[in-house]
Amino acid sequence: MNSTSGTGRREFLHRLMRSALMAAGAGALGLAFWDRHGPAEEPPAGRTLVLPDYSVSLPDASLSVVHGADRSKTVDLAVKALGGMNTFIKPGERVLLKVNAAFATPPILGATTHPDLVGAVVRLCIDAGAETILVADNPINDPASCFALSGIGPAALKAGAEVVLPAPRRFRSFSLPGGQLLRNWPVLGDPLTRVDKVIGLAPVKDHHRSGASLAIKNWYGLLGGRRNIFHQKIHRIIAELAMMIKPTLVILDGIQTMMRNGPTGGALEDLKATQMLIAGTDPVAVDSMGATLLEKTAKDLPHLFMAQEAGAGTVDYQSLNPVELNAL
Amino acid sequence: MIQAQKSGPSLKEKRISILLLSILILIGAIVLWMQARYDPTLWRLQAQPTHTTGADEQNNALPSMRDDTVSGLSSISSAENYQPGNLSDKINGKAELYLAAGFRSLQSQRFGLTEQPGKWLERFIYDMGELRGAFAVFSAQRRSHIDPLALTPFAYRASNGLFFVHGRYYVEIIAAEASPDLQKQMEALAKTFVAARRADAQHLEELSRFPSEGLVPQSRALIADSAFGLDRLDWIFTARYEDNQAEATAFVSRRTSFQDAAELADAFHRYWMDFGGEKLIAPDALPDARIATILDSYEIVMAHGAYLIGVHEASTLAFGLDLAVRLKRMIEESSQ
Repeated sequence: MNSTSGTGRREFLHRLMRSALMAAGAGALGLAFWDRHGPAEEPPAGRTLVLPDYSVSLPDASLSVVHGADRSKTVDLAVKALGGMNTFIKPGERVLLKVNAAFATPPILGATTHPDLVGAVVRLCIDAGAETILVADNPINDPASCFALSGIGPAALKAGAEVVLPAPRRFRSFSLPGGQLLRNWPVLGDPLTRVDKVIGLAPVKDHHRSGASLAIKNWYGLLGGRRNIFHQKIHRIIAELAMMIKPTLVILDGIQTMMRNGPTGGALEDLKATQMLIAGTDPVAVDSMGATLLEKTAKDLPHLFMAQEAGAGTVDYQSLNPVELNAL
Repeated sequence: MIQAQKSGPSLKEKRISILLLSILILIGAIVLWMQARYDPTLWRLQAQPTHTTGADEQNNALPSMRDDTVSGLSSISSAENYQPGNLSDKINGKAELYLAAGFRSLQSQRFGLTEQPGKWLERFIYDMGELRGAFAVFSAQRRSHIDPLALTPFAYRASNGLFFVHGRYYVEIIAAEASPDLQKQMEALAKTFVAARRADAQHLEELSRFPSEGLVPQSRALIADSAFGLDRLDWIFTARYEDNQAEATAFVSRRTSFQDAAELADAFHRYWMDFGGEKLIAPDALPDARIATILDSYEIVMAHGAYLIGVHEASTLAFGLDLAVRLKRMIEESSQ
């Protein structure tokens, strides 16, 4: 009995020791892999961002206006009037849709690009044979919440696009040749350098500082860093943004216009059913026409004349003979 | 003896081991499945505990939310706190409006209906330091065609929101959709907020200086800075007036002294003259008034005691002068 009892005790002690060693080993391994501080923010890459010219030259019309209430129908007609999405996107090309997802607010407030418009344009790009469609913005509020609550993220994913959140590693230092403000400034360069074409999708909004938030102001969401310092020179920065991005196409959603209390709004009473969608290759012309929905003209928005002087387009949108259609 | 030397596990031990391993494999499979469905755009919407601490509240004068529980509403986000240095991270270009009016802090949080989590609202509590700052941002953003509320002296309901001033706080409660369920909860949340906090002040004496005849309802406002385009014109109370024939904006501002008010009246008059205005002779009823006409409208300004008073953009001179006389009379009566 003594011998049996001794063997059992030894066996028990051996097992206990093995278990203890395994537990200690697993704990040590876990400790070795434990990152106490979590992933660190990666600084912008050292190399300077160089942005290509994404624009295309159109044989005929370069500005279209469609009256309607259905975003899918109006954008379809507006793009067709310019020759169809095939005019802008060739099979196999990669496309960036720069949306306005600035705020974590619901679509009905009109502070962000409407998800119906995002879904419709993604589908048009797919039909044109786009290989990849990225949807990106660097929002004012928490990016994940902005994309989710605005409905843009789910709409983009459902239609077949990829949502690019503005992780620090996606920014590159950018300097605008001849620019006063955009010098060595972090720009959301990663998606811009991964695509062949860029399309801007912006709502028409009042803006407390700049007077209006339209297609060119939408590029503000490509900037990183403490960009709010630019609010002191808001017209200058918008004009420089017009020089920074030479887009393939811009689409201005004036189906509902935020007439006051912009850029956030907050009440449905801030909105007016202006029922107009404008598409074009000249962002200055598109914005000059969009300003009329806010009961303003280009004269009320100094950045449009500054952008015109810089060669980014013309405020005389009528000179482009806009094609006007009705989807009502 | 044979049984005592047995070193392998028993059948029972094997079964328990297999069961435990199966559970671990199942957990692993669930983790892998969840990770494969990971959506970074959605995970942050889960309810998280507020990061506000008692020290934060004391240091930043943030209101406590502990007493704001409303039956049927659950928080779906943590509380977010903003200071003057980062207010634009929340409201972008509108931050300057608040900063000019004395903004101190903002606390925002989202709530969802407990029974219908897809229906949600967001509450913004702006601490503007004092009542006049809160009224300034409230009146600057006041919507037209709104439904006034008896909640506080300055409160109204919009289709999808509720906006009010309570002492030094300006509060916005904005729903993701216009729905009766959300409207009911917005009002409950607002009432709870008001009941839980004592208002330091609810009355702005300048507002009572405006004559009632011809006053456009819900038009009284306070401009915190650069009123009518002149940098020096700050904290100007305004009110719109109309009759069948004409319209104008009356304004009142209490300054530190008569000299201060008189100097500002001169500066305002010069401002119009510099922009091409034409000086007009003051009538006997308003001997101290500086009057100019510019772009087919009329500008009247004067100092009366420590008050700067006047009429801006009167469509006819007669209407402007009549309004200025009535305004001056109100100021005189109030100082007696």
